[in-house]
Amino acid sequence: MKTDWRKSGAILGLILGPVGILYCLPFLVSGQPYLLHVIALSCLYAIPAIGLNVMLGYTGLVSLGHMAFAGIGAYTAAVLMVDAKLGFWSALAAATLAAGAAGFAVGAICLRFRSHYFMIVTLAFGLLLHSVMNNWDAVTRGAAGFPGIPRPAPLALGEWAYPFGPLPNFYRLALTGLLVAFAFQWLIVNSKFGRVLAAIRQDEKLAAFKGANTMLYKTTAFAIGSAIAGFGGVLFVSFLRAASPDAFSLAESINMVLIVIIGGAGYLAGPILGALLYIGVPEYLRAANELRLVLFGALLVLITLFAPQGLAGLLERGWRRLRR
Amino acid sequence: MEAIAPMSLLEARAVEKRYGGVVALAGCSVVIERPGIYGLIGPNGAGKTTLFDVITGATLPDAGSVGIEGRDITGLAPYRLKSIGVSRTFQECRVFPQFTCLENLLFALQLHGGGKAKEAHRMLELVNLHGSAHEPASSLSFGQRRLLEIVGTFIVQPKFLLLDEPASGVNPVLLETLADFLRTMYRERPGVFLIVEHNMQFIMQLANELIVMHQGVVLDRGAPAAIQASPRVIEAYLG
Repeated sequence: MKTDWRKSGAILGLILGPVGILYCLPFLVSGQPYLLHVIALSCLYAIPAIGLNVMLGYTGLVSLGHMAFAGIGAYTAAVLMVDAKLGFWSALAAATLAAGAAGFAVGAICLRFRSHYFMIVTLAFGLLLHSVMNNWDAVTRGAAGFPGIPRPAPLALGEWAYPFGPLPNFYRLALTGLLVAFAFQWLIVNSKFGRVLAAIRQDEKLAAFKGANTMLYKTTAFAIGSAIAGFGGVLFVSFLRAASPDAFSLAESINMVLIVIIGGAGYLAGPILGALLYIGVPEYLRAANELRLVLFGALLVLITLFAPQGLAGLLERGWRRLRR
Repeated sequence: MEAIAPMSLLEARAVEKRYGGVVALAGCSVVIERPGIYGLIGPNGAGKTTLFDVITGATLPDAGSVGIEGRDITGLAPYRLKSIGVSRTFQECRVFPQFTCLENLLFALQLHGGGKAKEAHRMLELVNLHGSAHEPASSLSFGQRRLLEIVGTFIVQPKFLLLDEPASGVNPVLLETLADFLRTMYRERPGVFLIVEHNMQFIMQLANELIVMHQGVVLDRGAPAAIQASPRVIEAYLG
């Protein structure tokens, strides 16, 4: 028993240590607000990427319309907060549920198709939803974007208050959102439900003959992935204080697929590594001026060539070699 | 659709299936009334696998019906078959490659309200795979994967077991293991074992009864010795 406690303590330390450092990061980079901004943005991109990882990495569903569900979450929260004067946290919960419900409905249709047909139908739904965001002026404010989306009200405890306006504070909120999404992903992957998703990814026909209602499982995975995307979408527009249809376009959905694949599809940490690379590296390549995207493209090609299982796969391989 | 006879254990009645202009099943009827090991044999294209697919809901028939213990199960979704005790394998060997051997067995148990890992270990031992229990299925040889696939169908204790060419690609040593395993399983839990097979030596020594298909219908059926001597079967298949 004593050994078990030690082991548990060590694991807890291994988790809490880095998490503690991440929460203290604003103090460590206090003179570099731009760096903190990029890291906060990476956290906000990593959340919908985690949703996509549940679908793509763990279930084998490549959706090309994923960011549209982040948009559903974002616009639902925007309307609820700005027009219906609902509080941030209630709007966040409602928007997450709305994105999940939309994901279930759209998934139930898209999942009647397989492989590239499925991808095309998700792409079509993504375009359709983007078009609604772009043109439904009365609700979404159209192409001009939805301004004035508030940040959460300050957390108050007696005289002490924690406002989310300052960047370091919002960064901690984004980090908390990311950790919640990550923990949820971990719970899914390590649950019986997650085992069935893993089986479906490997051989859907066999999983069905083993007794899994694969359509229901896949639709549920699609809904969960969409709900996580919606959750991330709310935090994203609250960070920017505005929602724009372009943030949820086809290009952004394709970027999300790249983030998951480059980070490592089917790895818990894959979406986080992918988001850090995909958001962070182009920002720090700005010094290369017009060569920036060329260099970034070359880097992506190299990763695909030498780390086909993404950065997380590369790290796992390296770790295994070290342990040999 | 024709009615299912109330007393039959497994019944396919007047089943028809066409793929474009190709007739796979031409009014095929098979009735099994007693538990036993049944061999389903016939030349390539006779309709054996299509019959399996129709029975297990993988393919909808154009006409005819399928019943289990008097209940019409025509077109029943594959995932619901387990609840009525039907399990099957496929012509191409199917296991979950990233799961370990043990996980492959426990997965089916998990979907059916859980079960004992001890039984999974015992079954792996019966086919000499206990040493690889914690190895991923992808690390096994083809013959071992085939054994794992078959063991995986027994773990949920099916009453009706449909094996599609279980001996295909399996070396002679593993074939003996497979035959012993099937006999042990039948002795422990007698049910309907319906086995499509081209390896005549294997199926002759294993089956109580052979059902011969040809051009989408049942040509003949009977004890292995009688089938071997049947002029119709010799002409159409055994040559």
